[in-house]
Amino acid sequence: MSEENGLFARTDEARSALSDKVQETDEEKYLIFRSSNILYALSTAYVIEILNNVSITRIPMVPDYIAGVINLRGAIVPIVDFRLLLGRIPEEESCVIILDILDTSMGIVVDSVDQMVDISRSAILPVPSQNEHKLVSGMCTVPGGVSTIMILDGEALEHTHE
Amino acid sequence: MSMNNDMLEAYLFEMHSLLEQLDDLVLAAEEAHTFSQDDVNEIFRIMHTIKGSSAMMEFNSLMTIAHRIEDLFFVIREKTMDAISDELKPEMFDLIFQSIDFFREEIEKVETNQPLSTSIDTFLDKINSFSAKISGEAEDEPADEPADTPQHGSAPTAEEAAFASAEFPYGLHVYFDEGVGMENLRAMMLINSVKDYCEESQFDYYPPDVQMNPETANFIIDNGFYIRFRTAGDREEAVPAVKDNGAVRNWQVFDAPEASPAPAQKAAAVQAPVAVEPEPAHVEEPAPAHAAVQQAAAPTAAKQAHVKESLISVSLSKLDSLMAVISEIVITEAQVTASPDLKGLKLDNFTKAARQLRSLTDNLQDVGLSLRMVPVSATFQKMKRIVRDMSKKLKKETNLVLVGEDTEVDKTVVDSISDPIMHIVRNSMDHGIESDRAERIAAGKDPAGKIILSARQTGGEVIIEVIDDGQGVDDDAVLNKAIRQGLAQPGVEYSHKDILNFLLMPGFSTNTEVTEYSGRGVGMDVVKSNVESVGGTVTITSERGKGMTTTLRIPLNMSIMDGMEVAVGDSIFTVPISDIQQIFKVSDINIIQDATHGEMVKIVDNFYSIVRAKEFYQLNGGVDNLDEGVLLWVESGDNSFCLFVDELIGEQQVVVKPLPDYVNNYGIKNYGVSGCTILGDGSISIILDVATIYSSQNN
Repeated sequence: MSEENGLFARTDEARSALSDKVQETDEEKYLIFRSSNILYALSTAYVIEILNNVSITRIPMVPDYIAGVINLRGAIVPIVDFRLLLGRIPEEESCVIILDILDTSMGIVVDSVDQMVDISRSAILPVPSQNEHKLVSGMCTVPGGVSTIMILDGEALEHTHE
Repeated sequence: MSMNNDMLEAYLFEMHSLLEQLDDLVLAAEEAHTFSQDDVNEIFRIMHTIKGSSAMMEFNSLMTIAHRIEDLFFVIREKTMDAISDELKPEMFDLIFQSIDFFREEIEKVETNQPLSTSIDTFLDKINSFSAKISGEAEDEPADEPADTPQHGSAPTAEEAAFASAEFPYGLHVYFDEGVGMENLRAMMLINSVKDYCEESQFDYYPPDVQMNPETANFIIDNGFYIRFRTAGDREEAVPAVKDNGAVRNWQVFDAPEASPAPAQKAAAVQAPVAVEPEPAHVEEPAPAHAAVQQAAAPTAAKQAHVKESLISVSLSKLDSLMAVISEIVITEAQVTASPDLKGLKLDNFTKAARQLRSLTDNLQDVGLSLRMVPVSATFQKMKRIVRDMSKKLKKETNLVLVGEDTEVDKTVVDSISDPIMHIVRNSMDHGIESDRAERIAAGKDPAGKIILSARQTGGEVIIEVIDDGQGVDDDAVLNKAIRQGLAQPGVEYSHKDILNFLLMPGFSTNTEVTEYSGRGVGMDVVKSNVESVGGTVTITSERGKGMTTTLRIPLNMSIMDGMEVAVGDSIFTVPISDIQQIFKVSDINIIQDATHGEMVKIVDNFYSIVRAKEFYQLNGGVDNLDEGVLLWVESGDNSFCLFVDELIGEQQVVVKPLPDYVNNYGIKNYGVSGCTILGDGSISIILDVATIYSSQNN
C-alpha cells in the first residue's frame, strides 16, 4: 500500500482509503452490476477482476448459494451465487466478479456487469428497511439516469456464512 | 538489554547447537567412561566459544561458568585424561551435565526475557573444587609436563618469522588494552572492521588463526597483533579502523625491509616468504609448547569450520513459499503440456522438450520436498539424556536403544512429536520399568531395563514406537482408577483394549505419587492431542509382566500425496491412495441388505458396509446400480468400509490445498471434505477423508 493511502487511512474511514484519489472530491468509484434486473453497486476498492466463462467446482454439503470454488491462478477462491443468496432464480447469462474483502478473496456470480460510475458520498441515501441479508447499505440514483442502484456493503458479503 | 535482535538470534542459535553438540559428546563419552583427547579439545573449543559469545552479549553468568569449565578442560587437556582417577570421572560427567543444564536454563531465561542468575557461586565452587582435585592429583605426576616452559621461550623466533612478508610488506602493529580479555576475538573484530576499508585479499594478519585458536590471545597479549598490507595506501586507509577500535591501547606502523619491531626480525624477514606463505604452515607455528595437542586440535577445528559453512538455516516460511511455487510449476507444466490446443498436432520437438521438462519438474518437486524433511535423530538423541538422568534419579538401570534414527519426516511433524515422545519415554521409565531389580530377575528379564525407541517409514506413514520391557499395564489398577476418575462405569465389562484407551483420556495418571518426571495429571492425553494435530494416531498395546508398546502413526507428508481420482456424476473426488485397500466391481447379488436398508459386501471373511458417495453427498448425477460403478475398499485408522463411486479416472500425485475458510465454515469437514487439489487441466478436485466419512455415516 502506498504512503498516500496510508495518509488517507488516518483522515478517512479505513474502507474508503482503499479507493484512489477520487476520495478527495468526496466521490467513490463504484462497479454497477445487474442481478435479477436490479442494479447493484459495489465499491471498486473491493473489485479485483471480472471473469467470464469460469468453471466452478461444486462443493457438497453447502447451501445452494455457495456456487463452489474456482482455481484462480493456483489460488482456491470461493464463489457465492449472488442471485441465489438473495433468493432469486439465476439467469442463464452470468459472470463472476472476484473481490478482495479485507484480504479475503471471494467471487460473486451475477447476471452481468454494467459500468463504472463515480458516486458522491452525499448522493447515497439510507435504506428504508434493512432487508436482503443486510447486504445493502444505501441507495442512490444513477448519475444522469433514472434507475435506482442498491449500494452493497462489501464486508457484509464476506460475513454471509455467519 | 539493548543489543539488536539479529545478534541475539544468532547467539541463541549458536548456543543451542553448541549445547546439543556438547550433550551428544558427553553422553557418548560417558558410555566410553572417558574423554578422548579429541573430546577434550572439542569441549574446550565449545566452552571457549560460549564464553566469547556470552561475553560479547554481556551475559555474565554464562560467561563466568563457561570460563571456569574452559579452565578445567585446559588443565585436563594439558595433563590428559589419564591424570583423572576413575573415582573422579563420574563426578566429572555429572558436573558437565550440570553445567549444560545451567547453560540451558540461562538461555531459556534469555529467550523469555528474564534476568539471568546472579548467584552462581555455589556452582562455581563446585567447579573450582573439582578443578582443585584434578590439579592436586596431577601434581603427583609432574613428569607429564616438562617440555612446557622452555618451548614457550623458543616460540617467539618462529613467530617473528611471520611479522612481515614480501607479499604484504606494510604492517601495523597493534596492542590491546591490558587485561581487556579475549584478545583474539577483539583482533578478529578489528580485522572485520579493517575489511570495510580494504579488500580481504589485500591484507593478512598474524596470528592467522585468531578466530579458531584461543591460544592466540596469549600471543597477542605478549607480542601484539600484526596486520600486513600489500600497499602502503591500503594501510593508510585502514588506520582509522584501528584508531576507532575502543580496545586498542596503541599501534605503530612498520615496514618489512626495516623489520622495525625487533632486530631479530631481519633474519626472519628473509625466511618469511617460505615459512609464512602457505596457510597450514601458520597453524603449526604458534606455541609449539602444546605441539601434540595443537596438531590434534587443528584438523578437528578445520573440519568443524567446514561443516558449519556447508549448512545454512532458512526460515520455514521461506521454504513454504518455495514449495507453493514448486507446486504451481508442477501444475502449470501439466497445463502446458496437456493443453487441448495441442490436440491432433504432431510436434516431435515439443514432445521431447515437454518430456524433459516433466522429469525436471518431478526432480524439482522431490528436492523441494526433501528440504523440509529432517531426520528424527535429534529428537531421539534428546531421549538418551532423559533416560540417563531418570535412571540415575529413580535408581532404575535402563538402556535406551534407538532404531531408525535417520528416518526423515517433515519439520512440522518433528516439532510436534518431540514432546509426545518425551512424555512416553518418561512414562515408561516411571511406570513401566520395575523399581526393584529382584522383581526383574524373578521375571526372568535382564536386570537392566530396556526401552526401544524406533522409527520406520511405511508407505505414507512414519511409525514411531516406544517399547519398554517393564511390568506392563495392570488392567485392574487402570480400571479402578478410571472408575474413580469417573471415566468408566462401575459394573460394566471392559475389554483389555478399552482399558488401555483409558490411559489416553484427559486427566488420567495412574501413579499414586506425583513425581518430578511424570504424573502431573497431564499425560497421555496431551500426547494424543499433539499427535492428532498433525493427523496421526496413538495406540497402546501391553501385556502384563512383559511391557508396553506405544505406537505413533504419523502421515509422512501433509502437503503432497498420491491420490486416486474418482468421478461421481460430474464431480471429481480424490481419495488418498494410502487409504485404499482394494478396488473392485461387484454385482447386486453379492450385496447383503440389512434391516435398516444398509448395504454390506463380504470381502474375504469380513462384511463391510457400503457408503454411496452419490447419496452421502446428495449429488444429482451419478450411477445407482452397484454393478455399473466401482467399489473402493478403504481403511483409515480402525475404520474400514467400501465407498461406491461411478468410475476411476486415474492415479495422480496431488498437492493438498485447504479449502477457503469461507466454505469451511459450513462444517463440510465433518462430511469428509478435507481439502482440495488442482488437477493437471486446472480443474479442482475435492479430497475426501475416509475416516470422517465413516464416522459421519454412522451418526
